[in-house]
Amino acid sequence: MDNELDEVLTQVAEQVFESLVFMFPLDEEEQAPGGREPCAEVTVRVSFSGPFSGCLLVAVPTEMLPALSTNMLGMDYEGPARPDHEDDALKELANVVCGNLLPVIAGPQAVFQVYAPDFVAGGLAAETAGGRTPAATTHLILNEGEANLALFIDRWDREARNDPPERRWGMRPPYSTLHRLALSRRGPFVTNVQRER
Amino acid sequence: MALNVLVVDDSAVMRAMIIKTLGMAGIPVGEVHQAANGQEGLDALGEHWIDLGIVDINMPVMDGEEMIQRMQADPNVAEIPVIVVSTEGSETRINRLVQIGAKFIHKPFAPETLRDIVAEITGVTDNGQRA
Repeated sequence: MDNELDEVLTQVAEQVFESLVFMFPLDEEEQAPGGREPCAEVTVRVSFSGPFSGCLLVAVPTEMLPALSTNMLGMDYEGPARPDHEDDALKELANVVCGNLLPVIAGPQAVFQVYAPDFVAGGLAAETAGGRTPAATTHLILNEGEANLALFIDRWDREARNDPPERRWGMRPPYSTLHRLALSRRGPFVTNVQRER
Repeated sequence: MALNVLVVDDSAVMRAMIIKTLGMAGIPVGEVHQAANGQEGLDALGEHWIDLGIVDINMPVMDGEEMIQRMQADPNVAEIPVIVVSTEGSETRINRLVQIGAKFIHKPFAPETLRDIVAEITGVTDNGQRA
């Protein structure tokens, strides 16, 4: 792990994949030697605003989509088969990861507006093409395929600039450690912080 | 006694999952109505007899918090018990919802959690009896 934010993202993502869609990370010895063949991916973005704003991207192989919706609804689901359930399952997965991640970073008092997930053409590469650097990334190797997640943090609330970081972000230790690590990352987010100082 | 349930969530798969979970938990369910946002939820409340609302927070058009506040202001539906099922992690926001009478379940959730909260808020247990 490059930093603690990567670790936090990994832990939250693994927990949500396990509990929501029953997909578990493979141990090293269970992974295919040389990795998997490259395959078509689909990427969903969840944007948020609040004490800081940004977005979370979740990319999975297209072939994983049926398993996501089947696992979410259960094998014995007898309701009507709906093609939108597959897309919806990935959106909901990303939404749950984002919703569980933000309070871990910003603290339990921070209030965020989380917006409806949408699909991103071009995936993670398109998001970073303009030099945008993620604050955290993780790569999960699951039995059903590999998932990539990236957290982008663009700015924090300018109205709270006079507050100390812990108060501004609603943070308490140990969150202040994550805050410090987030600030050490390059990109537009760091630029804002440096300007403020 | 079977409960008429309104499930309000912008995710179709999550609505299906909640409805399935109600069945798995053994909760006696009568009519099930669905809505994709708070406004649709309020419309459904005006059209159907609802015993229990299960509502998400972050939705387009009208979010769950506003929907619940509007329910509280309408004497015709103010007494309907509401469970919020959401990824919301802010204690500030959760406390606001709890203070206006809603119960909160965090996503992802276990079927037992939903069963226990439904029994607590409606008094109807998984064998259909009033607790």
